[in-house]
Amino acid sequence: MSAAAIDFDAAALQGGTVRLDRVSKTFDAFAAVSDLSLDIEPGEFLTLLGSSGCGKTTTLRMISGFEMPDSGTITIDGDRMQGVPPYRRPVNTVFQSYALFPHMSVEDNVAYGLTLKKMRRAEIRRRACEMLDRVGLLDKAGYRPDNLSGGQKQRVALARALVNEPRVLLLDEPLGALDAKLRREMQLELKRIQSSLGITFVYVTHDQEEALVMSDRIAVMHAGKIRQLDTPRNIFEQPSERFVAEFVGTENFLPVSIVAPDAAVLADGTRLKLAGKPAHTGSGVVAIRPQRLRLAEKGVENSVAGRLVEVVYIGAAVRLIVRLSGGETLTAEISPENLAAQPGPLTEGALIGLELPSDALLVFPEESES
Amino acid sequence: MSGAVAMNRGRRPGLRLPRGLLVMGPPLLYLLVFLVIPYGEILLHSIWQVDGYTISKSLTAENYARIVENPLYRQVLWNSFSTALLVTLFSLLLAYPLAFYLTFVASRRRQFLYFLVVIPLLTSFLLRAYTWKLILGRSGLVNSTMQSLGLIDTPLDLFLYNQFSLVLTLVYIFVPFVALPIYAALEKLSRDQVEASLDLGARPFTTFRRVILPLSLPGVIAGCTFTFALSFGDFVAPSLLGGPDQIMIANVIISQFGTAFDWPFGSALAVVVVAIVLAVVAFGARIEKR
Repeated sequence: MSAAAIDFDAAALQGGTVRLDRVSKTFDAFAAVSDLSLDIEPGEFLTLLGSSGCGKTTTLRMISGFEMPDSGTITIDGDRMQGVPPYRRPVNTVFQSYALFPHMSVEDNVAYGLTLKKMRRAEIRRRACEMLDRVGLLDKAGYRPDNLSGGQKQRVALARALVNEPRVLLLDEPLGALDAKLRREMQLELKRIQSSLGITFVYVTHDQEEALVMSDRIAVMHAGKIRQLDTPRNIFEQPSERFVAEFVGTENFLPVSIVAPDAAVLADGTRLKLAGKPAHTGSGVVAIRPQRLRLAEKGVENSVAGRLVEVVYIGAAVRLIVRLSGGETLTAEISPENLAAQPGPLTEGALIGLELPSDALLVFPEESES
Repeated sequence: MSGAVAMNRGRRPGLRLPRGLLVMGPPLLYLLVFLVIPYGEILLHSIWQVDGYTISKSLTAENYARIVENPLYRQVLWNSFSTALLVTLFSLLLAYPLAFYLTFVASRRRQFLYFLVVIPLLTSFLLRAYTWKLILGRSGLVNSTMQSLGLIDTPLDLFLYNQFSLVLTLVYIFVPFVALPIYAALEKLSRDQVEASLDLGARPFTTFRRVILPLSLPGVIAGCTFTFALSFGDFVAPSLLGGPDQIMIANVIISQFGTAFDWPFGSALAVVVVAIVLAVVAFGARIEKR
């Protein structure tokens, strides 16, 4: 426990640092986290993003102290956490299930952590109410958690953790149980609270949009390892590998042979101009988001032709599934503007051209694992 | 469904059953047959009296006066009360750790251990009480083991026919009754709630005292009132394993309906037992409310 964690009157709170150094954790021969290293900066909002079973929750639980790593070290603010139980760590957790205490009032829930410290009753009350006010639930102080809505419970869980002024706040899919509209509101509110308090947030989610909206940095995890650690913009625009690209919404992958640093050839012989990044040549894949494909006249540079298999109206755009002559399918989401510019019947079976703008193409070397 | 049927029927002339009665009927009938009639009978008998060899239906408070005035009956009631209290206490002391172990520690052996807790409930009460007679008796397991180890020369009588053997047997019988509701309550408590408490800085014991125990209290109260009520009115264990000093109220009541042929007095004793048990149940319900 560092002095700052106890000093509640510190005017400006500062977030703690977390360092994971070559951490591994195995459950019954299943490697949940393997050889993971990660430096979390003070005051940053870091998201562990990945699908279920990727090790993100296990990583979080090793920071909170509910799991002990098999090997490697975890330090918080420079203190080694080996053998330090959860109740002595300067971190607090917001659980996905909220985990409120049903036999206590909302105020008592929030005050719980403070009552475990040597603090005057009036002071505890003042701080609990202040925190409830901050999350907009002061009028619900006397309620039982069972009488609150999901969003309100979520705020109580947040207040209960934040009132202890932790060095690091850990959040395990805290918005998972909320409906879409409320989730978007809470994303912004969480981000606001985080930047105003300056506490380091470590956030676990499988929702890429959530991660992009809130994070300073995102660690995309897969099979117990971090595959890419970067800003949301770089994760989205320059995924380091096919897995990351797929995870943040790129749906189209076409095998190519890269013949020059700025050119690749599709299986059917179509030549694609690249933005000129790949240094290697040989077989690889090009990837493109559905939103970046455009309807095109025949003969336009970087265009392919295919038959329309399916047309789906999705509101803001029209989704087209197109089968290329080589057998691959492309999913394109065409904006109304693009549709208007390219009149022509969009009926299933029609032959259409799609442009793959070179600045929208991502190129990855062929992976040995499929 | 039944409501709709009743409505259709209700429109036919001559068959005007109120809908409420169709829904309420079966439970009301149950209450009438199994509660109102038998308890009413007992209540009535308790204010009648024996006249020679018949029961005369002239009203009297004599039966109740006898219970209050005669120190013997007060003693027997106290016996039952203290025995039930001890049984409840020791059952709770054994059952809570058992339920706790099943919920939080057992993990893979949980199903099997749960089965082991339940299985005695499937065998006869009498048989289970008798088992302890075999274990504690002069030629029982305890005596023969101690003899073969050379600890004693002659069998000891001090294990059987006293309050020890009585309470031991009843505790053995009632531990599952306390453990199961506590287990049910603990199981509802999520791992997250325990972890949240630890995460907020509470040590394991504080977490137990402030989160686990309060949330399992309904199970504790249910198990304890159950055990208290059943052991208070038990007559098998005292007659098999108790000594002359361990006569319990149920034994006295049985003799009133048997050899003594004083049904009215037996009924009055039974009413007193029901009143005491109801008071304890009400007390438990009040604690739970808080």
